[in-house]
Amino acid sequence: MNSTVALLARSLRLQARSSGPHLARVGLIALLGLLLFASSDMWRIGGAAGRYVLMMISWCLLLVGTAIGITQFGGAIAEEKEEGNLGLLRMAGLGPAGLFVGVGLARLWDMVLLMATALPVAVLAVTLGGVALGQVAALYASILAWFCALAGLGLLVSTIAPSAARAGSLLVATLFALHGLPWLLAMLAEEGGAHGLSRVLHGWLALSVWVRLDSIASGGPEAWWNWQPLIDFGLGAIGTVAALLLYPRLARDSHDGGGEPGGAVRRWLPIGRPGSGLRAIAWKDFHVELGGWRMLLFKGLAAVAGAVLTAGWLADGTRSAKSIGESWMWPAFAWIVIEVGVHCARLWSGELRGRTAELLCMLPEARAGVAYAKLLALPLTLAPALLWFASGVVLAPESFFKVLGDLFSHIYGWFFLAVILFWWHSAAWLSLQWPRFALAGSIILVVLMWILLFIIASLTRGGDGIFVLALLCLALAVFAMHINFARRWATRV
Amino acid sequence: MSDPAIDVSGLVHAFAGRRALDGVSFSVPERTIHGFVGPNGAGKTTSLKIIATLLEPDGGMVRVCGEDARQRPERVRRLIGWMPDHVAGYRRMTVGEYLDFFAAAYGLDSARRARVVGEVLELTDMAARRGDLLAGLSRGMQQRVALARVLVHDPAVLLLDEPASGLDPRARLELMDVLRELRGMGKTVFISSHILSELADICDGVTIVDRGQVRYSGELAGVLRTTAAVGGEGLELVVAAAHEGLSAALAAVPGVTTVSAAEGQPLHLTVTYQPTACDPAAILAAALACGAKPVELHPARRRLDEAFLALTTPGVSA
Repeated sequence: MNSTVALLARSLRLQARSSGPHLARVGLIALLGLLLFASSDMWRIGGAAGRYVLMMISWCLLLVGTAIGITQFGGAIAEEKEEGNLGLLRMAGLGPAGLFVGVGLARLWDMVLLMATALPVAVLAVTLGGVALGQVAALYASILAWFCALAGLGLLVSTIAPSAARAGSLLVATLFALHGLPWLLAMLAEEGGAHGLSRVLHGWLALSVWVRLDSIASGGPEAWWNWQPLIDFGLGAIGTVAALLLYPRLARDSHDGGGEPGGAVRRWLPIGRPGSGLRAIAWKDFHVELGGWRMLLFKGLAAVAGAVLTAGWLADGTRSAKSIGESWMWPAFAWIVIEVGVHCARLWSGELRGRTAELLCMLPEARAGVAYAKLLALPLTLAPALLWFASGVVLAPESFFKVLGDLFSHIYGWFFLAVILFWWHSAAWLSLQWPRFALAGSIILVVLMWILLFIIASLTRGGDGIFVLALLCLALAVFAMHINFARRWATRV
Repeated sequence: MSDPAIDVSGLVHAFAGRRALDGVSFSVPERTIHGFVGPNGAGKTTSLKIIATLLEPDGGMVRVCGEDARQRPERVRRLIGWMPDHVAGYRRMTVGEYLDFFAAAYGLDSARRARVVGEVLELTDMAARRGDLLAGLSRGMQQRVALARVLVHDPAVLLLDEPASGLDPRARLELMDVLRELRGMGKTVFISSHILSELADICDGVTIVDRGQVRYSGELAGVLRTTAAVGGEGLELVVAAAHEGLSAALAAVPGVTTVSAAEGQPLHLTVTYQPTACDPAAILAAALACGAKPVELHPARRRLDEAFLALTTPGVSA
């Protein structure tokens, strides 16, 4: 018991010293402040100002909290593995339950602090009218339950995965399987006329935190207890129990070589030999950081399954090739943008953890060049999504060229592309500075930027000029990140 | 006369206001093994990182084979093989894949890579482990792989930061053999350690740093001469039996700085003195006057570790 308390105290102390959680709370407050300022016009028009405020709080807390929770809980045990602490903790008499309490509870406490940060604004919502205290309590109970689900599932993936980065990816995939996939399938089932399946899936989605928060923030008084918190607490408990059961078999330090073959290794698929120069870095990243052929095969199968499912449902004679093409093109585009962003956020975490960043730093190449070379592995790993996208373009060329034309003929289109580029760059830059918070930090930056832009646009009564200015600012920010990159890298090694 | 392999002049660097290097200057001739020695926190790794272009100094100049490290870092990196003081590697790669990757990243073509990787694996005695995952290797073997990686692009200068740490005695001896071989192949080896005597057998020259300043730089034999000038010459006096008042009588001789006695029979006394102010004959006379019966009197063999202690300051710098 003493060792569990000591571990909990250590974890809380480390988190108090880390700048990431403090910055996240400041970011949340800044986000809420900007949103309050931006939406003040809407209150006057719509009335019941408290509801708008509560809705903003619920979505901000959910999005920021989920982004941070994925990193926090996904890394809970995996980080201890990477630092080689598991053996030491075991020697100190700490079993899996003690470890989960010591590490997991401290991180959950951080999430509670995040919720507490937004509490004054929630009370303001009550003061503004249209919201009862019961709604605020229901909102907080729902979000807390969601964070508990994240904690339990995070501990599970963190026990299974060998590194924090992989645990984070696995947790994202789990959340997608629980919420994103049912939503996509329900949409397709409805389109394809499979109403029974659609009803089941919609029933499941109705229990999700997203639907619940929407209902609390927009509806009348809600009971603070509901099926959603119950299910999310249950998910958290199942995740924790599964992690406890799997811990003795799967949890071992990355450095103790346990489970690694001592003799020669036979690869399942040959990895070939690298090309010379910067191409070698792309080859290494493809096989070491991006999962290599195995992950590519998995993604290819997922893409084929997605394509077959959508085509099967939609090709009922009444649908045109155009609608099938559109249903392939835009999810594939979103997949590409998100996967590049996620990879950028992990660009340096593996190198910093394995302390190989300084070995790459010693290559006789410009440092920004080395960073771009790491991204050269992406086209191959994105091949299934690119193929999916290209198939969509072939089936619906008019839609594609219309969107393309719109993108390049309006300043808003250019701005949209600049935001994507800015997100990728900021994620890569943050992965050097705060590897654990790179994804969450870059998303918060982009959201803050959008809000700031809308505030300025509303103050200046719109117009293209403000978007031209914003575009210039984004270009400057990307340029500054390039300049700062080499120095930041040198400081980190 | 050719440029020195490494030429460092007036190197200054501070971390958060604390000065880690305070005007470090030294040079390392080509095709030599040069030791870089200092206690923990002396500034060894900081100096090495600056030479390796990993760190931008606040002031001073670094040249490697005549190339300015601040002006032309990319060219300097090609001349250098850098081995950090920790094990670093892609644990999911095999030894062969890992070396092939770095050889490729340094721009070697496929055919040359195959030959070079084979050669460096032979040199480091790791050829039999070519197909093993890095994660499955012991620390000593990982150090060997790290040394092999340093050699794949055939650098002229090797910067090795405490390469022997964590190695067993046999592995240390084998590492020293490899370093001698590399010197024979025309490489300049700059090797850091905090144990001077560990490098004594292989180094042609040595630089001793302490608290960010160079205390000595030059030939290894010169260390002993320098420390003699600082702490005084040493004499070892052996007397047949312990004699009361002998130590005090010797300490009273003008010019004698310290007298220390070792337990046992016969009694061994080590006397240090300033050669400018004292004569060994005066020390012998004092012993005889005291009634002691000297059986041996010879210059004390100052060990390298003692010399190191004489040149460096005890404790951790503030």
